[in-house]
This record gives sequence, C-alpha cells and structure tokens, in this order.
Amino acid sequence: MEPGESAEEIRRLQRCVSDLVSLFALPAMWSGGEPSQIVHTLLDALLRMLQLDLVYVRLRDSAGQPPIEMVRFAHAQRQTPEAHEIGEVFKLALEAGPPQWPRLIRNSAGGRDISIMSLGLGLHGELGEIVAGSERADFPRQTERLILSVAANQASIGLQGARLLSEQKGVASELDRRVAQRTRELAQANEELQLQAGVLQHIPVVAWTLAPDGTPDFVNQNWLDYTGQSLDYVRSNPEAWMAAIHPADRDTVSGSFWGGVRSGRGFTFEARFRRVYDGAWRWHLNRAVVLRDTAGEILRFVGTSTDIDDLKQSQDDLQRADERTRLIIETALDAVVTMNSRGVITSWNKQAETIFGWSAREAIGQHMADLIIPEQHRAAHEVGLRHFLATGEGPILRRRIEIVAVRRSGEEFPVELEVVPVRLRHDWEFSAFIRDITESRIAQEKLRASELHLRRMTETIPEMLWSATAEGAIDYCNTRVIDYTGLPGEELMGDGWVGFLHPDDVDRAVGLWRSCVTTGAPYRVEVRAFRLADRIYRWCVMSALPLLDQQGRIVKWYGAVADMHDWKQAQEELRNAQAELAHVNRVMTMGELTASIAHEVNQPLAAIVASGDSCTAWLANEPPNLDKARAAVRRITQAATQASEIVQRLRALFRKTTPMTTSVDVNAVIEDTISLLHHEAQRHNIFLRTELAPDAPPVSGDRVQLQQVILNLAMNGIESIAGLQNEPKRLMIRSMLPNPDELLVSVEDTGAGIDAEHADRLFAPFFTTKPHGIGMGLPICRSIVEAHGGRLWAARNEPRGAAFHFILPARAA
Amino acid sequence: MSDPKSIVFVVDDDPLLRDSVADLLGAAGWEVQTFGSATHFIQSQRPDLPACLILDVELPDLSGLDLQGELAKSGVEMPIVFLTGRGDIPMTVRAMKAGAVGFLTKPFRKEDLFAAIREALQRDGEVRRQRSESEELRKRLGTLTPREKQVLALVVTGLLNKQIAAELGTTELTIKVHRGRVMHKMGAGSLADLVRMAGKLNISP
Repeated sequence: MEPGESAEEIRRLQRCVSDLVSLFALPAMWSGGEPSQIVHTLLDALLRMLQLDLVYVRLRDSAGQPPIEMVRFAHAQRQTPEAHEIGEVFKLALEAGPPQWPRLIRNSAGGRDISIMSLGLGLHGELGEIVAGSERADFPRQTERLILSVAANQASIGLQGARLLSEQKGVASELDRRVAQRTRELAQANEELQLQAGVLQHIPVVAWTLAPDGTPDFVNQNWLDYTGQSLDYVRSNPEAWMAAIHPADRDTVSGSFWGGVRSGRGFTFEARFRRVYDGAWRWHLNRAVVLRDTAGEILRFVGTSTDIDDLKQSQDDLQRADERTRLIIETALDAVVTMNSRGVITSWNKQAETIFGWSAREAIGQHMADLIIPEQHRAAHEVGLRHFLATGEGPILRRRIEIVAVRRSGEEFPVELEVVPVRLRHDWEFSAFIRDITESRIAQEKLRASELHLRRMTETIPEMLWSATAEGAIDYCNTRVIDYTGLPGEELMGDGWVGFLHPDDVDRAVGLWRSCVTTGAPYRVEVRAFRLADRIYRWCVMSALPLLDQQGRIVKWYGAVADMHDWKQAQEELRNAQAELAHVNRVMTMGELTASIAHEVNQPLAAIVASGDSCTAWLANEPPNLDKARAAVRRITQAATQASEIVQRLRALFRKTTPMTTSVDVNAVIEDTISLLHHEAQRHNIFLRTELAPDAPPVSGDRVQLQQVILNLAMNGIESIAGLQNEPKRLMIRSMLPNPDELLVSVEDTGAGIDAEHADRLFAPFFTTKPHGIGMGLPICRSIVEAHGGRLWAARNEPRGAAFHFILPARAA
Repeated sequence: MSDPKSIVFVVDDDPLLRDSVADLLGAAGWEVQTFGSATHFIQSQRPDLPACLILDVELPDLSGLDLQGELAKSGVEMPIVFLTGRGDIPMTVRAMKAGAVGFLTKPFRKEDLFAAIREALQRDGEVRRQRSESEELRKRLGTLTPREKQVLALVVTGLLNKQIAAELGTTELTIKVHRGRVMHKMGAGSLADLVRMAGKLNISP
C-alpha cells in the first residue's frame, strides 16, 4: 500500500467512526416522533455521510394502508422523479426479496449506471426497505456497508418505537371510551349505592363493612393505602385483614372481633396496625356498629378504624409525668404539702408524715393551721392567707424563710419553708416545701462556736498569723500582726502586706511568694519587718503552707510571721565570738610555727639579697657582665615570687575574717598545710607523709577554717611525737572517700596516744595536757567541722599513737 | 682580695639560694663548687687547696650539724660557715662549739658572708701551713741520733751544758758538740727557735 493511500484510508476510517457516532445519536432525536419524520432525518443523514446519489425508503403500513415511499437525490436533476416512480423501478426487484436484489440498475434519468445496495428494515424486513445508490463503481465499500447496515438498524429501532407508541395511543383512547361508557351505565344503574359507597370511600378514616358472618365485604381506599393490602386479599379470608395487626394484639383483637360479630352487638377495641409506608405500629381505635333491616335481621356491620396513636402517646406521657411527679414528691427530702384556698390540706407526702408525725390519711382534709402551725402563729397565717386571696400579695411567698413548726407531739422545731401559690382555674392552691432544719441548726451552732473558738485562739495566740486566698491575696491577719506593724487590717489585705517589709526585702519576698503560690511549695523567707513599738525593722521569718483539696489544688494559704531578730542577733554574736576564738587559736598555732614560717620566708629573701649583691658586682665590672647580671635579676624575681606566695598563704591564716563559703579542694588545703609544717617536722626529725584520694570532690566551706582544723590536728600530732627518742616518728595525713558524697580526712601520729582517762574530755573547752595550751584547739576544730555539716572524732592509731578523723559532706561533681 | 689558690664549697638543697650564693661568691672572685646535699658533698673528690664550706643547717638528708660531726670524725678539718633560716641559740652554740667559723641567719649581709669566708680560708691556710711546718720539723727530728734527741729534750728545758753533761754522765765538751749538731740538724738559729720547735713537736724531757 502506498503512503498516500494509507493516509486516505485512515481519514476514511476516522470519518466512518464519526458517522457511526452520529447514527447512534439518531434514536434520541426520534423519540416520540412520527415514522415519516424518522425517515426524513435518516435519508438526509445517509445522503450526506455516504455522498450517495440517491436513497430510497419504502415503509409498509401494518394497518393495510398503501406503503409510504420517500426518496432523496444528491443533485437537483432536470426532471426529478417522484418517489413512487423510483419505487416502480425497484418494485420488481424488491418484491423478490433480499437475495435477489440486483447490484446494478440503470438510472432512468441520467442514463448512467448506478451501483445500489438495499437492506430490509426490521428484524425480518417486515417494516420496509431502504435502497442506497451511487454512480461510483466501487460502491458500496466495506465502511459504507457498515454504515448502511447500522443506519438500517437504528431506523428499525426508531420505527418500531414509533409504531408501538401509536398502538398504545389507540388502546388508551379505546379504554377511555369504554370506561366512560361503563361509568355512565353504572351511574344510571345504582346512583344511591354509588353515593353510599362514595361516602365510605371518601371519609377521612379507615372504613369497612362486614357481612353478618364477619367477612369483610368492603374496605375503603384508606385501609388499602394504610396496610398495603389489596381488596381481593382482604376478601380472600375472614381473618386476612388481621395480618396488619401487631402480633401481640392479635389474640385479644380476634377475641373482641368475633365476640362482637357473634353477639351481633358490634365491638370496640384498640389495636396496633402496621402502617405500610414507614413500617410503624400505630394504635387504632376500632369500632363496629350493626345495621339491621326492619325485621331486625343483621344486614351488615359498619365500622371505622381511627389512628389514635398520637393521642395515646400524649396520654401515656402525661400518665408517666404524673407518676414521676408523684415519685419525686414522695421521695423528696422536703415535706411537700398542698393546701387549698380554704387552708385545707389536699396532699401530704411521706416526708411530711415523717417530720410532723401525721399520716397522709390523717392530714388530708385537716386545716393546715391546726395541724402544723404553732398556736401563736395561727392568726397571722389566717390573716396572710386572706390578704393574698384578696390582693394577690404574699410577702412570704416564693422564697425560703425560716419559721417554727409544730409536730404531732407538740414539740416546736425550726423549719425552712417555701410556699408557691398555683392558680387552678378560678381557685388557688398552695404548695409548701418544708425542711426540718433542727439538725443543721445544731450543726450551725456548733460550727459557729468552733469558729468563734478558733478566732479567739488566733487572736489571742502570741504569734502573728495570716491567711491568703489560693491566688495569694492576703485575706486575714490576726491582731498581733496589726499591733506589730501598726498598719490597719484593711491595709494589709491583698498585696498590702508588703507595706511593712524593708524596701530592700520586698522583691525577694514577693518573688518567692508568687513562685510558691504557683507551685504550691511551702513559703519561707527571712525579711525585715517594721515594728511600730520601736519604729525599727526587725528580722522576721515569714512562712506559709498551702491547704490542698482532694485533687491537690490549693484551697488556701495559712501563714505565720515570727520575729527572729533577737535570736538572729544572738546567733550573729555567737558566730562572731566563734570566729574570734578561731582566729586567736589560729594565731596561737601560727606562733608555734614561727620558726618554720621564718625559714620559709627567709629562704627566698636570702636568695634575693645574695643575687642583688652579685648583680651589683657584675654591673660594677669593667666592662659590666650583663649576662650574669640578668641571670641574677631573674633569680631575684623568682625568689620574690616564691616569698610572696608564702606570705599569701600565711596571710589568710593570720587575718581575722568572717567565714566565707566557697568550693574548697581539701587536698590542696592539706598540701598547703604540709608546706607550713614541713620544716617543723624536719626540726623534730618527723617523717611526714600524705595519702590523698586522687578524685576527691570539692566540699563547700571556708578554706581558712578547714586549713586551721588540719593544721591544729597536725600540730597536735607533731607535738606528741617530738619528744620520742627511739620510736618511729611518723605523721600521716590522708584523704579518702568512704562513699561518693563524703570526704574523710585523717591525721594519724605514732605518738603517745590518748590516755583513756582523757578520752572523754578531749573536746571539752579548756581541757589540755600541754604545759602552755589553753585547751581550745580541739573544741574549735570540732565546732568548725560541725558548722560545715561534718563530724570530728578521735581514735587509737594502730600500732601506736592517736588518729583524728573528720568527715565532711562533699558535692560530687 | 681573693686567693686563687683556695676554693669555697656551698651545700644547700634550695637551688635558688645555692645558685645565688655561688654567683655572689663567683662575682667576688672566689672559686666555688656547689652541692645539693650533704651526701653528695661527702662523696665528692675535693682538690687539695685551702677551702671552706658554706653549709645550710636545714638539709633534707643529713642536717648541717650532723655533716659537721661526720667531717670531724673522718679528720676533715674544713672550716664551716653555717647558714640558717631560723637561728636559735642552742643550735648556734652547738655549731660554734664544734668549730664553726660563722653562723649566719638568712637573709645575710654579703659583708658578713665574705668576712666569714675570708676568716675561714685564712684559718684553713694557717692550719695547712702549721700542718706542713710540723711535718718538716718531724722530718728533721728524725735525722737526730737518740743521744742528740736526749740532748734536745734537755736543752729546751733550759739546762746548761754542764748540767746536761752531769745528767747524761758525760763531759761538757761532748754536750756542746751534740748541741751544735742538734741546732744544725733542726735548722734552729737560736735556742729560742729550738724551744719553739720543741714546743710544736710536743717534745718533753
């Protein structure tokens, strides 16, 4: 196949497909149309699609009429033949039936040969024929055959539809005609019956008639619509209609129904019928009356079924509401009593029986006033009642009041009462709700007494007390606070309490208070508070704890203010005295060490002086020896630095300073102390050794004081060893970690040890075994260690001598 | 001011002070040799020169005073100048008794140190000179015959020749000859000379 041909082929196929689509759309256009109209559009479409020269259709008429013929030509010809003329040309061929149809005919008009293709319409060609013709010799091509056959099919469908439609129309008009005629006949025949049936048919309830034996012989349309049953079904069986009844109601219905029929009295019963459109079971009231003839014979039962479901529902609701109200009233905690406008009791619940001691039977019908109102109030009751009835005013109505009531026993007791007037048609009824408050009155009295007691206590107790809301606003201060500060109570409330604080303490105190109020943590702060008596600020401790509810929420804060000024001052003085004493002890210890210290300092001083002199000499040389002079100056600097370091170390021990808490490396303190003791030990030929824990954590404390402890203990050790002649002279200082958060320091000597008789007085002040001691060394050491949160104790050293140990809390890194 | 034929030894455990002292003495023209401990000093080979020892009292191994005793025991008569950081009286007394030339407290004045060194060296020089003089005399004494030694011993007591002769049972003339030989052999210029020499040799009749 050539490329051009192939492209042409593709175009042809595309055209064929779009033509087929158009053909399939035709039936939609034809729907409801006449056959001739269908044929018109079909011919136009085919002529255009297939570029035919002519197309012809003949339709047979089913009703024996002559066939309809139609023709189209592609080009207007001089003498356009009529359709029937074309038909004549084809006639013979067409009569012969499809297999004999010719492939070619001669065009009578143009004298040219025309290739034709003819197809039957309808399944077996019963609708007619269609003939397409073209002057082209290759007509019909394959695609053209396809299109023509599809077109024929589509036309068949369209024509079939049109034919069916016209047949239906014919039937319908025939029916209409017959119905009209029958209606006329019936109307004439029994106008009266029609009327009666019409009434039953059209009344807006379900209606029916029963034969004397109970078989339904008529049910109206409402029944059929309601139940979905057909008339035939209803008539098929005397109980067929009962299929619409709720299974639970069927037995009772059957009983009532047949009872009514058999007795001839008719019946009335309620039953649930199934409504077919929503499947709901709805209550119906069914009533049947009997119709008798003049002779008294039963002619019919005529009845209706009325849907009473909504009515019944509301009745039920009402009944239930009533029941509920009654139950509420019966079980109410309050006595509920009603009284009419004449003051007569109309209802009396269980609680009323309990409270007053009268049973409902005894109370109802009695006068309210006689029964429960104490005699002295009865007159007022009557007056009030009359006043209300006359004016509609009742000062004690519709609100809770406390009055006195009387029991059957004559006992009077407090009640809480609310009276609500209810208008019933033209009369008034009064509902009274009465609560016996004897118990709660007693409880209240007790509460009031205990409150008073507490209040008296908080006011008399010699402490400053206060409370605050959960949000932290002060809501109570006892008089002690007011007396102390001189501020009026109302000025202290809320945030006002900061008014008595020293201005420098306000931020700290308030900041902490806010944080505690948020977190619920206990509040404790040291502040200076203003005391009116001497017009000075005094140190106080303010503290508070929250009261929590079961969910752990803060309900309230309760707090106290304690004046700690004197205590704090005493504490301060004590601290000062201790520091003073420690200093004295230090200076004394240092005095004992003077020789060693002097050596420590003199050593570098000697180097300085010597190097100074040599430097001078080197410079005086001719020429000056500058290298030597420089070396000498370097030595001077080095020695001077050494000296100043020593002095630095010593100065702290001599200085009288207030203790300062810092992070202290105890190993470094031990090494510093050793450097002070080094020469002292040497002087006495004492072997001084240390064993330090390599990873000792820092402790929190005062470096000077801790050094003083180690120095004191070591000096004691040296003293006890110094006098020995032939025994080993050893002093050991150790640090170790018995556990990660404690640091143990031990000073062990091989001296004389501790006499058993001295052991218990070792740490007592002014106890000493030394000729010049004042006996304050060990007590001071112990107080220093204890102030650091540690302990100091003495023990025997093995194999000889004494050991002093102290343990300090360490802060693991 | 300095004697090149002398040496100063410095023993101190503190290198800074040791170097400073050595440098100071060096600047002044002394020959100096330093040691960090007493042990090192004892074990050292020392030149045979007039010498003195500058010694720190507080030494780590053997204290200065102990070293003094050790040296005396082994016959080393080197004059010692002590240096101390904390001179207390008992210590000073002990040192001086044992023959210390000086006892200086740190820090010391250079003049004091120099004076002490000079004195020490001088003393050592004297000791050495005396030691060599008496050795010479002993050598000369060795050349005398037993009779001449007898004569010498009696001469220096101040006896006349006649008295000596009577003592020894010989003639005055014989004694005179012996005496002349003794004077000659001993190198004595006069009787007084001979008496001094005899004193040094601890000669007694």
